[in-house]
Amino acid sequence: MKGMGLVGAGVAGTAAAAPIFKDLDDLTSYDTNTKVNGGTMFPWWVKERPTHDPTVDVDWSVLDYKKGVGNMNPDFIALLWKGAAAQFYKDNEQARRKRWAEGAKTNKNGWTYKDIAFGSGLTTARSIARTVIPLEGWASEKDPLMSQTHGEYITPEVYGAPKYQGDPETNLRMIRSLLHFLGITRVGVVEIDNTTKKLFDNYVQFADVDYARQSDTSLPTLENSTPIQVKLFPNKVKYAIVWPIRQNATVAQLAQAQEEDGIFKGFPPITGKMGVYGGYMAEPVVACQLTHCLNWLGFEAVWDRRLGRDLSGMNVCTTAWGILGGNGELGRYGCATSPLFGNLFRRNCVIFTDLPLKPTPPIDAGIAKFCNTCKICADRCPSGSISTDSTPSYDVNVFQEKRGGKTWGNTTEVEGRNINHPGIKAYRTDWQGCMEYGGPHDCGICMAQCPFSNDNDAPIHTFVRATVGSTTALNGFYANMEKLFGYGNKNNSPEDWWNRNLVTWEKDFLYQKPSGKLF
Amino acid sequence: MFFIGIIFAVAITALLFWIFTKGISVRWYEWILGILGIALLYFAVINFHGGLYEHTTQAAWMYLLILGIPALILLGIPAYFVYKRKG
Repeated sequence: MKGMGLVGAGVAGTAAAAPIFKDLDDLTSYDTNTKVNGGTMFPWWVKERPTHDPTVDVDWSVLDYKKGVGNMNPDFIALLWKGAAAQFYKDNEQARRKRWAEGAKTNKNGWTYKDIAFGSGLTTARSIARTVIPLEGWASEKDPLMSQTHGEYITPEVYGAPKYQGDPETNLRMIRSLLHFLGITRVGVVEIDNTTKKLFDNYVQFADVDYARQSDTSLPTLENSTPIQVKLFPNKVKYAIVWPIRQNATVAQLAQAQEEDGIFKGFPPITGKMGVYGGYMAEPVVACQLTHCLNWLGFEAVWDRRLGRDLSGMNVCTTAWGILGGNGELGRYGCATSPLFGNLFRRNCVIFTDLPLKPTPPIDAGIAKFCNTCKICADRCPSGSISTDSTPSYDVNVFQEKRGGKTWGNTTEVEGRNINHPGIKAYRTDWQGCMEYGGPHDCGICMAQCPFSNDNDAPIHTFVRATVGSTTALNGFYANMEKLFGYGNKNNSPEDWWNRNLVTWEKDFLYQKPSGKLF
Repeated sequence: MFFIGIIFAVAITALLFWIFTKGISVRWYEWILGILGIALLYFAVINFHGGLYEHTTQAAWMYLLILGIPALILLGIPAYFVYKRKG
């Protein structure tokens, strides 16, 4: 009885001391997470930069996605379309099938049929998730941009509830709280203004409309495929919510070229690609949930993939939005690099909304400066497509048929055109060379090679990252140590991953690694 | 990581207990070397453990080698002096 009394007193005391949440809003505003580290949700060594001023120089008078046929790089979509029809692409496909057949026949480590089945299964699931979920979930087949709000809509008014209102900081905390539940540990916001409007291509036009929808106007495309309908964006949509979908670090470490000769030379095992496929599969699920929530609150919400020429969507440079929102810095390999998980961004995801939000600035974790001396990704790129220069420049790569000895077919429209956006002082990836090699589909080696991509279990990584974020003095030393210690080497066995101890293994995740392990 | 901390805490407590109960004299610079050695050894072990957990075996052993050997040297010097004095 005495024990029970003590327990009862303990429970009562705890209850009295614990915070009391009156409602959801009270819960989401419980702590001041948006104020911690200036709202970056990063450790102290990650500094904030001025708005629209990332660690690579951007000449905003030059950079304009409307000047090229839109995509992550001007004319890159045209290259993709051309490439898919080109003989070299078919040859690459045949070579891939040959590797798969040989791996399956010989039960080769990382290329067994179970690896092929798992990889292909995830890829198929990704395609279904990307197209079916949006159609069934919130968009109509006739108009992929139309959100549920404007179809069988449910808004606060339907329930007789007052229109949702919250200040920008509280709203950001609410979105972060929701996405954190889904495993997303970092969420940024970019304001859509005259500067960031340059990141939209010609197929997105702002107008005084009530909701985002497709217009009756179509514009031709460079690759002479079917003209694309112009998307009308309401002027009231002022914010882009950006969050990263990560790749699993352990399987990414398996994506190493393990063979020196033969048909497998220079290609990573299929097991190493699971994180890529899994990330793509998770993305639409998370996007669907966030979009629905915003719609229920009574706000517009358009997922970036809805702005593409088809439901796979490719017209928004999500890397640029992610970097401006502080999810990472532009790395040497040509995409975003996170201070906490390096190049293992499967994607920077973006949802455009009119919910008022507090913008988050770009960050400086010393990554861009570290890239100047490191060069590990470039050294290990099997196609030599990543720049090995020691200083960034405004120069861009230009498409030239047969530059790499491969035949693309009719390339009149793209010959001599830029395959990188002008206006960014950075290391520019030669996407032509990457594609001709078979990348990124058959490769992706650069992602796990970055020293920032290492998992965070050994405390020394945090020590190194904090130093890199504070001074450049040890950058060269750290890059050499990375090589000496064998990170990104060929020693990891895919078969070991299959046989991991499932009772103790904590490194599997669908969306992202749970928080608390990151730093 | 938690159990490594427990093991180190128990080992350090036992060592201190032994030093004080036996009345062993330890000079101030030997204390400093010993504390640095234990700290470095702990850092080596937790990074070794973290490296193994990350599936980066070579890195794990390198941590043990590069951090662990200096740690043992730092611990060995005061141990040698104390042993010599006692003997």
